[in-house]
Amino acid sequence: MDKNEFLSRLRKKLRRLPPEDARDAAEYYEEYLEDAGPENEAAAIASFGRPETVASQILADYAVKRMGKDPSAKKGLSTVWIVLLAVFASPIAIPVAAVIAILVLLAAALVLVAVACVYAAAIGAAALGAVTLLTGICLVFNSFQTAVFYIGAGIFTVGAGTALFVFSVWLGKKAIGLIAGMCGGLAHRFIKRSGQS
Amino acid sequence: MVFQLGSALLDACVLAVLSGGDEYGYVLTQKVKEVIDISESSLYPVLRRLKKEGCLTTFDRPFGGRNRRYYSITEQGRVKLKETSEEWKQYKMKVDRILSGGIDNG
Repeated sequence: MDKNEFLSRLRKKLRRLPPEDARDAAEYYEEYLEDAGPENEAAAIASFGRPETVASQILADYAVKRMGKDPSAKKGLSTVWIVLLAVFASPIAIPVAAVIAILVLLAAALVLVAVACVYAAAIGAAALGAVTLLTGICLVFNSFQTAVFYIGAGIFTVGAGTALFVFSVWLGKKAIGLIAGMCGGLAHRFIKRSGQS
Repeated sequence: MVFQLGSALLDACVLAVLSGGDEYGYVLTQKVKEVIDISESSLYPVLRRLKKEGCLTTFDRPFGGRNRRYYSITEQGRVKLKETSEEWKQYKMKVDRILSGGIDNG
């Protein structure tokens, strides 16, 4: 593998990072190889190891660092993504990586499905409430008692649905934070194991 | 080498090399490698972290039609280097004591 191949494979794997960080890392390795000179280039590349491994260490390092800084939901999700990429790019046996990744994905999917159920129930309740309310309003001139019952029930259901909706949004944020935290921990362990040569 | 080097000591080694003058990535790595058996790729994350922590700054200097990125230790970096050196001395003394004690008794 020559310099250009190493660098292009490295750049490809770093694409998930913010452009500035990806460029900074790629420039470091490019400069390093230029300084090594043609006579030491092959030895340096051999010592680097696979570009995918180098990239996975940078990615994992980046994910862990960001976890501590900003645990917001959006960054949380992209942290999950970066960790998955790092695991896949790592040199540990592919089956192990696949199992870890599948477990993480499965856990994430289960939690997200549960949250989605609550979310759907909330929207359903709110819609049902609105329909009940409308029915009540339409019935005002036919049967006042029935109308009052429908309107009351409608308002209650809309209220309950809205409360549930707010709860589900909160739950979703918590869940994503939890998953991201789990992935961050995973990446941290992974770096500890492969950080030293 | 039989000993694993923690990140605190690796940080300190990098800072120690830089306290002797600004260096660029390749030479810095070679100097650390003379002492510690690290892979050539392991300094990038270290340098990045030290820069984020404010222990070093970088500047580019043109060389042969391109730029070389030099690393320079900051005041904060010198403080950190001093702290780690002190801790290392304490730690080394304790390990020495227990190792030599073991030899005397055996």
